[in-house]
Amino acid sequence: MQPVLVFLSTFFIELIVYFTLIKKEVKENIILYCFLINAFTWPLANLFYGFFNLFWIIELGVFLVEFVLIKSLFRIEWKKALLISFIANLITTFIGYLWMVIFRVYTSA
Amino acid sequence: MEKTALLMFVFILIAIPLVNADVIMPGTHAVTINNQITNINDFPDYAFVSICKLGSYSQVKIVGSDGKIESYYKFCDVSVYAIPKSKFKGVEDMEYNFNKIVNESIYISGGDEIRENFNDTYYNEKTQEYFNSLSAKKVISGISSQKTLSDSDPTKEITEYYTIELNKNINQPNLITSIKQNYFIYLYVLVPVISLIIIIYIILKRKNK
Repeated sequence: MQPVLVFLSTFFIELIVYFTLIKKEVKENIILYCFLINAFTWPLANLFYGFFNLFWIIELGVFLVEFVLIKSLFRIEWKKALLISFIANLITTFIGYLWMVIFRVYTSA
Repeated sequence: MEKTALLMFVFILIAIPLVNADVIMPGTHAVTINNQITNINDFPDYAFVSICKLGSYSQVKIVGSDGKIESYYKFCDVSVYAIPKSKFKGVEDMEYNFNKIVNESIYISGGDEIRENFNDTYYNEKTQEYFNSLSAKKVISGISSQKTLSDSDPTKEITEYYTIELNKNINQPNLITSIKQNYFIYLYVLVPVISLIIIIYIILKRKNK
C-alpha cells in the first residue's frame, strides 16, 4: 500500500507544478498526461534504484525523460518543458531528500 | 477552486512523510531474517543465550531447543554464547549482572557542565570478566535480524542457518535460504510499459491528424 501512496504523493506534487506553470497554454488532459508521465518514470526509477543505488544519476535520468515527455505531450516550447521538469523534480527530490534525512536521524537516534 | 486547493493541501500535508520523491529513498521494505542453530541438540550440557548489545543497552534471550534465535532491534549487535548448564543461573540473573556493569560504567564528569559519560573500556573488560566467570564461549557473532530491501526485490523472508562448534566463533551462516513471494517487481515493469504504449499512441494519433 505504501508504494501506491508514495506514487500518488509524487503525482499530486508534480500535478500542482504542471497546473501552475502551463495552465494558460494547455487546457486539456493535464491530469492524464501528468499521470502517464509519472506512471512511466516513477516505477522505473524505483526499480533501477533497487538494483543500482545510483540516486543522483537516476534522478537526472528521470528529469531528462520527463522533459522529453512533457515537451511531446503538452506541445510546449523546450525551454518551458525543461523548466517544468526541473522544478517538479526539484520539489519532489527536495521533499524526499528531507524525509530521508529526517528518517535516518530518527532511526539512528 | 478554493475547496480543491484546500483538499490538495491537506492531502500533501498527510502524504509528505511518505514521499520518497520520484526516487529518493525509493520504496523499501524490511525483511525479517530468521536465525537458526542447526545442531543445538549436539550440546546437551550447554545453555545457549543470545545477547543484544546496543551502546550501553543489553538484552538477553534464551535460545530454545529448536535452535531458533529470537530477533532483536535491527541495530543490535547480536551474539550467541554457550554457557555450561552447571553455571547458568537464568536470563534474569544475566540481565541483572549486565545492568550492574552498565551502571558501574557510567561516571559523572565535571567541568563547566556536569554530564554523564559511558566508559566503554571498563564495560568491555567487566563483561568479559563476567563471561569468563560463567565459562561462556562465544559461538556466533554479527547476527542480523532484519535486512532492508528495495520494494522491487522479490525476497519476502530470509532464514540463516548456523552450524556451531564450541571452540569456534563464527560470523557467517553456513546456509542461507530465502522465500521469494513479492511479485511487486512485475508491476514496476508492467505499469511503465502500459504508460509508454499509451503515450506513443497519443503522440502518433496526433501526428496522423
